[in-house]
Amino acid sequence: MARNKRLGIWGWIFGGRHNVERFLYTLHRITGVALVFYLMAHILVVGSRAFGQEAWENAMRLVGAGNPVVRVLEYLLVIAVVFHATNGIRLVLGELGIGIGRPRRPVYPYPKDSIRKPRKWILVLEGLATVYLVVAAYFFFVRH
Amino acid sequence: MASTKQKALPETYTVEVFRFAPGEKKPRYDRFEVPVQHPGMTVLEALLYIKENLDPTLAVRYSCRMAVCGSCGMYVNGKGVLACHTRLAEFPSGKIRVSPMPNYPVVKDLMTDMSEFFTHHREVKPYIINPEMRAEIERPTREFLQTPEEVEEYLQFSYCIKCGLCVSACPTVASDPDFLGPQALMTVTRYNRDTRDGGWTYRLEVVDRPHGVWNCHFAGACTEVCPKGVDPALAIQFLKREAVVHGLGLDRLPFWPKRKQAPLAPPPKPARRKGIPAPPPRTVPES
Repeated sequence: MARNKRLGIWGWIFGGRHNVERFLYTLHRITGVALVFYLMAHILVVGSRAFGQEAWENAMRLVGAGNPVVRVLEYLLVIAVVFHATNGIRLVLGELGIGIGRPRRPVYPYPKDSIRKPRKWILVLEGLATVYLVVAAYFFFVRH
Repeated sequence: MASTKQKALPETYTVEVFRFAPGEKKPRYDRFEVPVQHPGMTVLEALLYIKENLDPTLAVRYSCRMAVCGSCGMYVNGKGVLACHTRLAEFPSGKIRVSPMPNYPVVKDLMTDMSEFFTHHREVKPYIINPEMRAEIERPTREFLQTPEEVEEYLQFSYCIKCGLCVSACPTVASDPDFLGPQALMTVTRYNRDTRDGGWTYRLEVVDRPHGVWNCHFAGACTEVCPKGVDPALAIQFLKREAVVHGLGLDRLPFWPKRKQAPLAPPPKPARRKGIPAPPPRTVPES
């Protein structure tokens, strides 16, 4: 009997020594799932207003901006949103065939245009994301 | 590998090989000491040395020894390579660890079961389909004319040797058994961009569905690992664009560039030069 070696979720990262896009792929999935869970929690919290002002104020006491743990969690949420958005821009452009090069003759050293060419976008987009996160951190933790 | 040329290579390599036989519960790694026989010695040669001199029960699949047949795809030190195309000199530490491609069932040792890979390959109709030119495709009388630019649209993708390394590296394949995989999706683009072909709508039906092209999230591992420079990720992104354009109906708009169809070459001149007699009559009926 042959041994099944399918890696499962483990294979998202540990399928071998590979390129940076593979790790962005995994992060994109993790942040995407996290955002779906956040959206559900967000609807529950905001929906508490439907049960009267007292329910709303109770909910705000629990997860309002005054709670430092919630503040850190919210900042993590900002990181997830900003990463998912900037990486999503790269993916949408690439998946529409923009900026990933054209087929050419595979002459050694072989072209790997589809991952080499968009690398500059990764730098630009994630650089912008980092600047945004630093500014956001200032308003989150210093000037709140 | 200019830097490794100057360094003195180790005289022997420690080769750790993944071992598994049907019936065994757990796989293990066996360690062998392999003497370097010449400076260009490859990982495949080291494995064959082990098979000939140290352990004849080692199972390894290979054929051409020159990166053409695509039989010896495996992982060396955690990276997908063709064993025949990877020199020991690339690992100056003198230690390598060889394991079979992940995401495939292991038959024995380094041999993986490729049947699912080829099932997916066949699923996408990897051949020229042209309903309008059917008679010509089946009983060719003349050639189709293509410009060099039209050939370059798909030539890179036709260099695939079906070694299966892209599928083993793909993170989506790791967690989605029904995903067609980079090789099959790349093959769709190879044929869809061929101007002799007219079957792109048939292939889009196969890939534009769950577990099809949309499960590719552009991790780029297939391109990184491909030993022939085929760039499957590039082909798959082109396929996605094609599916979006067709799905939105953009290709039916009057100003959208139409698909080219390669014309047939003009018929050969029937006239015979003067003084050359006609051929004798046919002695067997035309089949």
